[in-house]
Amino acid sequence: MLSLVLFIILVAAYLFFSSARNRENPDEKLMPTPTKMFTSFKKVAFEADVKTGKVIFWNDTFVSLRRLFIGATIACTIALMIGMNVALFEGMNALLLNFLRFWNMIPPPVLLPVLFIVFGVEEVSKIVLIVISMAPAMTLAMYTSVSKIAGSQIIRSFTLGASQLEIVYRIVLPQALPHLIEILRTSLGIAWYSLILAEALAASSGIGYRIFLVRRYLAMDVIIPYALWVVVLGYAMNFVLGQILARGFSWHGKQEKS
Amino acid sequence: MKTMQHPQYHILLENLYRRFPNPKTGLLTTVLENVDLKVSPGEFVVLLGPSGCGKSTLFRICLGADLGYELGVDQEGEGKALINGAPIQLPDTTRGLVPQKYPLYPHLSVLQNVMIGLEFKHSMFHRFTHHKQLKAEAMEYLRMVDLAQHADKMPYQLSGGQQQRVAIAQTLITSPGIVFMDEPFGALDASTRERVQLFMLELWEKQKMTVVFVTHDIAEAVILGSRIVLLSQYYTDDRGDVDNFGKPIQRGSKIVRDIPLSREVLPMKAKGEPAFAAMVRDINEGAGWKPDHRRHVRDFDLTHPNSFSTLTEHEDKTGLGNGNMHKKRTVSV
Repeated sequence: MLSLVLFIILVAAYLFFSSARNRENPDEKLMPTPTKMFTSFKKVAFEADVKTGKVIFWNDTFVSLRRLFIGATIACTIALMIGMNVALFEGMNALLLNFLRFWNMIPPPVLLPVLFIVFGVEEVSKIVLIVISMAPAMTLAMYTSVSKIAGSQIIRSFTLGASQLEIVYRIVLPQALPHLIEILRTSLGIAWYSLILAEALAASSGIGYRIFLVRRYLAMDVIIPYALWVVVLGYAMNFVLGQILARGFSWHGKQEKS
Repeated sequence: MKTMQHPQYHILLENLYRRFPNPKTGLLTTVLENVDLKVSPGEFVVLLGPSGCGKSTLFRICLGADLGYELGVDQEGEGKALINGAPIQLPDTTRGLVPQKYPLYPHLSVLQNVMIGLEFKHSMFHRFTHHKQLKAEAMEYLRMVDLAQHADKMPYQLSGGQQQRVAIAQTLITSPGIVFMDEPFGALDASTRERVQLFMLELWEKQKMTVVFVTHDIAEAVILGSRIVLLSQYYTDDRGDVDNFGKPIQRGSKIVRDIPLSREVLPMKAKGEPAFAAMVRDINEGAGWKPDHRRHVRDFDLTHPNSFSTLTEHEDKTGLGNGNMHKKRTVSV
């Protein structure tokens, strides 16, 4: 309950100041009252846009989430495949590890212009940016996790008669998956970041696009609800991944009954 | 025509050396020096030794996890390192392993863990058609370790001692010729350890599999073993204490004692017996256990019938060899 106090203080302060400013100046743009925000939100969320015939808010959400989802899936696949291989096979390790570390050092925004040049400003470049921003850190994290799994179990698995292939797919992979989900959870932040950035710069729909578009009209009454919505989505994703971990991989991270 | 040698010994090591380059100086540190060991089927060999003596190294070499050993460094390359009569291979089903920690696969149930050895052995088709039989066989082994009622639990729902028992069943189901156990009860609390030790002993009495059991706990060694092999770097020989350049000689470990244990009384009861305490004391204060108790190579206590020792002319200038080999022991538990 105590942690709510800070939220309550901030919200109360906002309400106080915004109502004061709005009383002074009815055209106040910087700190809209909740009523104003709600009205604007109703407009974008429940009325079809005159031009496109789609409901703006939900279309933005759908488009952004789709980009995020595709990008995250690709990044996970890369992280899993490369991370596992580099951890398990000496040759791959020698070949790829230093390259991974180098790749990890590049800040995603630096690559964005390159991507726009190479892939244009369509969906591909945005998805590629998400992948590039997530994949290196995730792959390195997977490499570390799989190294820890593999070390103690490999020799034992050979003594039980396992072949190399069986070790990879029946022993290591199932144990790597929950690690992947945890790593994905921590990478969602950078994923959103890259998504919003790419949409802000070169898109015609999406949450990032919308926020930066209405910025020009100082429409905080749209921006703030959108920003809060991103937070809600973030919580929702975190929760869903947590549930997958708890139900599908209940054994993960636990050692023994005391 | 040369007929195939019938492997008399499960393990046969002669003139075995293991040296590692020191990362700082680049010079070679000898961990195992001219080690000789013969293990026959059915023995419960306890590999005992002070910490840092190279038990794990010897263990890993026998397991095939360390192929960097050398044979006959001082004997012109002559030596042997054989498992079942053939040179040591990479880890396979001939040698089972029960590790100290995290023995089970966490993503499989207890029953699936025990079954996995069978599953690795057979093709997918066979596994599918004989599923019931494989399951039944795994249940048999679970019953052997007295954990059949936990078949569908996940490893994390079991205590450490229970997990080790499942690991033993998991290892035995592939019928390895030798079972290597690396301080398997080291992570358990005292009372659990006692129970598992008793269980291990009863299991061995019934199955009589060959076991190589590594531990640094003397009491555990005396309880479990039919043969105690003491590996230690604390000994002396005819090379003296300094080499030709005045530097102190760094000695690799040897088998300093190799003694049989006969057992007429069930060990747990024998724990209170004076003979038990005498044996523990004998090892604790005897040669090789502590740095200040060193024996000469010719005086090593090698009384087990399988013990043997080949000494180089540097180690044994007199050429008389070990005088204690195969003498009968006076203290027995």
